[in-house]
Amino acid sequence: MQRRKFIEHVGWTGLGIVWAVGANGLLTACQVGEPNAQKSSTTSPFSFVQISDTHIGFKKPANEHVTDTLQKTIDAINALPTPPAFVIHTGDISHLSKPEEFDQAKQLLSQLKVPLFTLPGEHDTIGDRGKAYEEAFNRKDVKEGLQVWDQAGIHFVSLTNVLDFGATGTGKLGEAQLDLLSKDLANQKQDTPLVVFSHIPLYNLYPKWGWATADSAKLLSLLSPFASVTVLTGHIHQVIEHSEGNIRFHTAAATAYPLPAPGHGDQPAPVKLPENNLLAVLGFRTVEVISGKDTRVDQHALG
Amino acid sequence: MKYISYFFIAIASAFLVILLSLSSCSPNHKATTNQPMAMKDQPQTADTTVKIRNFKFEPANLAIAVGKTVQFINVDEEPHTATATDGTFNSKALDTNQTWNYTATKPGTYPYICSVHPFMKGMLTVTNKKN
Ligand SMILES: [Cu+2]
Repeated sequence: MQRRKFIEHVGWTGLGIVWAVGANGLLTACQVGEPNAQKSSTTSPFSFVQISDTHIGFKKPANEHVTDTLQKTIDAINALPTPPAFVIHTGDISHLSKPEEFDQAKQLLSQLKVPLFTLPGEHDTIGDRGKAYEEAFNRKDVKEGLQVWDQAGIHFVSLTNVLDFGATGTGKLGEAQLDLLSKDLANQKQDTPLVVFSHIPLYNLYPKWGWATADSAKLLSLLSPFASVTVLTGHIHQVIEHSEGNIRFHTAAATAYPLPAPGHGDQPAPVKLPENNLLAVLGFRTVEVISGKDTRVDQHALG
Repeated sequence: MKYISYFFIAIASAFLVILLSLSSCSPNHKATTNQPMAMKDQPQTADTTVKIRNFKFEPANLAIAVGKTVQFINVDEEPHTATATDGTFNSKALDTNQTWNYTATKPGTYPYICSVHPFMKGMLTVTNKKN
């Protein structure tokens, strides 16, 4: 039986459940229902999609077909019953920052039927501080790595934390970017929902492997006055959730290959899984902003 | 009802996924196995070598004289770089078994990292020319 068929059937009854699992072995159940069935209000829901860590150019045993898994992801996004407002790619588009990798990624991603936002991962800035990346994915409105925009009453913030590193090898935002953000947030009302994107996680998830951002404390102090803050990052190729005050952090699954759970093994090296299990840990997520305070985050596994 | 069988499939697949994911939480240790074709002839002869293995620079501390050449070789499955934190040198991406040579030009101490895994640290000390 096809999985989509299954989802359509039980989704109609309001009992649809998709099982998603991170490489950390944590199981999360995500409801997949007809979006309107669970809503009492008549306003149409605002949703967008996050994809991450496509690593185009990667050809190792952990996934020898990263273009196929990205294609599957794109097809699934294009087939969503409610088209998202946009797709954001939270970095590591390429594996080795090669122009031909960016070209191939760009060609594949151009099949998306909705606008695409991107931000760089450390694999996109190797050797040239992101020059080849910027040429492929021209980002006009970016200053000091920061990009902000407003849509449907939500304030979106896209940050860059892969160009400089903290003393212990974590990501870094830098003073210039934090200053710009501080000025931007000073103009926002504190009941405006904030959605923040970056590549490397923005709290101390596992600093030993660099899964943290050196100057995130300053960022969090800028975000903490806001009533609703959702932080979506990539980099660690698995879903981990965490919250501090009103700030909710979600790391994303990759479309390329899984990484070990924090501290499992000696290094954050790609994990080789059998084909079917691989698809179960790859995928994308939909994010629905239901009201000023409620955000629904659903995982969509590829298999 | 049909839904009952769907439900069982969901439960069964959930358990399968848990089992499989638990058994796969450790990284691929084969990743660090040495490849036989690692050493290819280099146009430029290196005086010394830093091997990048298991997400470590070996040796992590190295001293060479001005004019001497150090070869970085990545034997990991993951790509790495040797990137001086002050920008003096940058290998760019070294894929598995790729090498990169750096000839020291100026005395000093040069801390360097892998820009893909910045928790990897090394130190290159360049000494004055010995005659
Ligand atoms: Cu590295």
